[in-house]
Amino acid sequence: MTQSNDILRPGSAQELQAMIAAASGALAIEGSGSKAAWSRQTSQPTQSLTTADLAGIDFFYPAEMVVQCGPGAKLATLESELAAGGHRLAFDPPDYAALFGKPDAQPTVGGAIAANLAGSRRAYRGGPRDHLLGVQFVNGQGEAIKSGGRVMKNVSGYDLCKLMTGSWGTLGVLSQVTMKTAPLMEMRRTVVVQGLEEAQHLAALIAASRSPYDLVAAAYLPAGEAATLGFDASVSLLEIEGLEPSVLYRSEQIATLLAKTLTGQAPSCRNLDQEQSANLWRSIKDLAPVLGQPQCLWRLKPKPSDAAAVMAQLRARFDGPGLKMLVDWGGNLVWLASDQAISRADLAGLPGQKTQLIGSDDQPFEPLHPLQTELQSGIKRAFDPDGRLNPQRLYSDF
Amino acid sequence: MIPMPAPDSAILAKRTQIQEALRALMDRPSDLISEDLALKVYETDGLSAYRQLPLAVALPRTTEEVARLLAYCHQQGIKVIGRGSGTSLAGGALPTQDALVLGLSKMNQVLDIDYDNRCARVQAGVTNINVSNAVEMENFFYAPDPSSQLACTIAGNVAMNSGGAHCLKYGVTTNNLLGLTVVLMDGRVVTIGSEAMDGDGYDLLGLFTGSEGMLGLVTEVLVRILPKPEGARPMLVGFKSEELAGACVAEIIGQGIVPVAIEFMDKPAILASEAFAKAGYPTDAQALLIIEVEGSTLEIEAQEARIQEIAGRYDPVSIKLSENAAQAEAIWRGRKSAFGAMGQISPDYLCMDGTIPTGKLPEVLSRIKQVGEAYGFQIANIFHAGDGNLHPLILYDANAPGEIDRVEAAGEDILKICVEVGGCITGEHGVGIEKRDAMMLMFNETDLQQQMRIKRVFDPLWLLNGAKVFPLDINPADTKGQRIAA
Ligand SMILES: Cc1cc2nc3c(=O)[nH]c(=O)nc-3n(C[C@H](O)[C@H](O)[C@H](O)COP(=O)(O)OP(=O)(O)OC[C@H]3O[C@@H](n4cnc5c(N)ncnc54)[C@H](O)[C@@H]3O)c2cc1C
Repeated sequence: MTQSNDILRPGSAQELQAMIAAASGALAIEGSGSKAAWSRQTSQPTQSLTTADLAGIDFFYPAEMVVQCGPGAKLATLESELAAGGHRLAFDPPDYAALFGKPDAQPTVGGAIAANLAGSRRAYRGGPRDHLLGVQFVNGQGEAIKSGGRVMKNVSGYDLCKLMTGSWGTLGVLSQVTMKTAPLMEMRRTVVVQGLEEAQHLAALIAASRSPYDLVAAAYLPAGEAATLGFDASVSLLEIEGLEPSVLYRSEQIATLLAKTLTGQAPSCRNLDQEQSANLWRSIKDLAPVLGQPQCLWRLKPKPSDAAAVMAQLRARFDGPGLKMLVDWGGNLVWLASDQAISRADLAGLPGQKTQLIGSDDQPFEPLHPLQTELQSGIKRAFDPDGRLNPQRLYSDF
Repeated sequence: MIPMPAPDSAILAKRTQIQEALRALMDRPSDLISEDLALKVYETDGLSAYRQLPLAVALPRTTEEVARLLAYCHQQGIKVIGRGSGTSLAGGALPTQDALVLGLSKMNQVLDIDYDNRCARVQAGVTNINVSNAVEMENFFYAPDPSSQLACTIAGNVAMNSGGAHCLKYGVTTNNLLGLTVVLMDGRVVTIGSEAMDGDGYDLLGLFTGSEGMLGLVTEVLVRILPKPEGARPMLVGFKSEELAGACVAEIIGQGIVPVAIEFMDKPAILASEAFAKAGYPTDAQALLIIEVEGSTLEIEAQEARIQEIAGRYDPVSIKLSENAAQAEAIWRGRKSAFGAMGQISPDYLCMDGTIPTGKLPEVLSRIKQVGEAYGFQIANIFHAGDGNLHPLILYDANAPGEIDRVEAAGEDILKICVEVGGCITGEHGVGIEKRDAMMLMFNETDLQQQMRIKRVFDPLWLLNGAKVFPLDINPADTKGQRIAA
């Protein structure tokens, strides 16, 4: 057990348990601290606790598609370990450290799970919630709890993995996570679609997502944002992967399909190979095209069929040189960055969930319906009755 | 036999009165069932060794009706048990004498289909297959496909987090839902989730899925629908031993080929299914894999070639590709009716559902065989090999005195093996009453108290399906500590 600058650094699950049991007040829980600037601040913490030293990889069995590690494992370390065995994390967690002005912080697995952060494949391959098979954590009473396990299918008792995902460390502090991994495919390819108006681009995302060609990711970038990735005009990007003959076949079919279904302009389609694809999608999930020093960054989640209208509205309301947008998840996710301050009130009337990642609203997360607040406060109390773990980091009510 | 808590005698004493009050709450009085003969239809589920007539059965048609019924029961302290089609193999829908069974069978409409956003809103009592049927014209489908899909409801699937043969690629129920409409025990209605994935706040959608009808009653479900692949084709590979089949599965997945389904059958299962479905299963093999791949013809052939090459290293007795749609259909019919086929060779069976790490397959299969020998039961194995979800079927005769206790003891021995090798007691069928006590094999009391505190947030009076999942020794449903044989 080491203690520096009043930061608790448990080196084992037992130490973690002892520290929480002994806590005299609220604890601020951190992984690497890469997302500290995002959420609400923990209310009156008496101490910080970091899981950075719970970083070991316990096992990785490619043939069983499973990896187990401590929550403090760096995503970068874990991903290179998995890649060496021909695998990856299917939910493709993004790295927002640069975005939050902490380029040296190395995001951890625990942080990606606690914030429920998925990359571009979310709409087609699932998010952290879908790939977390088992957890061990310590609740606010200092009790060690487990749920799930290391096997692919498990309905033994309530699924606490789902509750831990996205709970921002308010319910328990993870001491161990077990995740499903996915094999790296023989071939990855991105179909690059250009020569369309914005609404047509967004229609292209829908058409491709409705097709049998099994996309893993689909994004759209307006011209300015596309330029940051080296494209000369606005672009839709459709990623597929699999065995080589299959990928070759599907990329052609997608081009044919788009030429047939999109009315008006004929899109121009070309393909990016493996390495270009990998770099491109890394930039998109880490939000490189909207980086800079925005005053605000919002994550909007409309239905894909509403995405075009949402973008048109955003442009009408906030037009200016600092406005940047990026559509991911096949149209289910619209990123909005601006040099102007934009508050939740300014976004009123736009459909779908809205979450602030950068900005001055003191409530970054989508407000809850009163009955939801009642239930979620109840859940908080069921795990952490004394409010020791990140109180109010998620919502002011709990 | 599995014990149940003694019923609440105060409620039983008011039986007729409660039935009348409930009837008055229904939009149509005939939707409240109170005659013993009619109640008999609801006395059991897929775990048919256990039977109990409920207090009454209500078959509401709207969320508002469900809300009225629950508000009344909450006020009166009457227990409620949700029911879809009653196919639970774990006794999840088993009534108690003092409980209202709330059946969703009349809420069976597909309300809205949105292809552009790849989702559909359905009433929770719709059958699983009818969701896929409703979207088939546009070449879409609903992915989780339990073998019981002709009968079971989406409500039951949500409650049990059901899986199916194709979940190796597409995931189970929890991975294919976007939202729920839920009536809480006190009658309040809450909407959970939406078309937007991963909403802010705690993931109540994930919590409700697999909570076995203990947190609230689900009346509507927003499901994810997926575009169908251009084609799909199963192949049959027969092996000389179960070990070789198991090793072949590990290598296919290890090579990064994840077929949509890999199903395993051992010799007794092959023989019974073949006699029943005439699907061309290799009766000379000790173990059989059904491996399905998807895509265009070209893609299917590429994957089949790769799989054949791998399978070839494990000394197969036969490899058979399906040559046409009829053959493919027969192959799946054999698998999906395999449980039924067992009924032809044995009066009764107990279907286990443990999951194990796939690498432990050969070891576990041989230990299951030993359990069968020790108890003198024949055990057939049919399971989802890709994800290690086993379904050992223990064949027995419920009419033979004492057999039930012995078969349950054999079942528990198998679950112990699953847990010992790093697996779990149930992969997709749920805990229900059947594996209530086996929960202690996986969890300690602290773990279970944490889960029970969550139930109390939603159902503080412990009225909703309370005699399930948690071992009676620590379960508030068992307040008086008086138990009866179910
Ligand atoms: C031959 C056979 C094959 C099977 N194959 C599979 C398989 O491949 N995969 C698999 O996963 N399962 C399988 N099962 C098990 C079973 O079909 C599933 O558990 C199914 O989801 C149950 O659905 P149901 O509508 O019959 O629900 P029921 O049996 O009626 O109820 C199941 C549970 O759901 C709860 N419930 C019902 N309605 C509601 C509601 N509205 N709100 C909240 N809770 C509710 C009940 O209280 C109960 O706990 C099989 C069963 C049989 C008999």
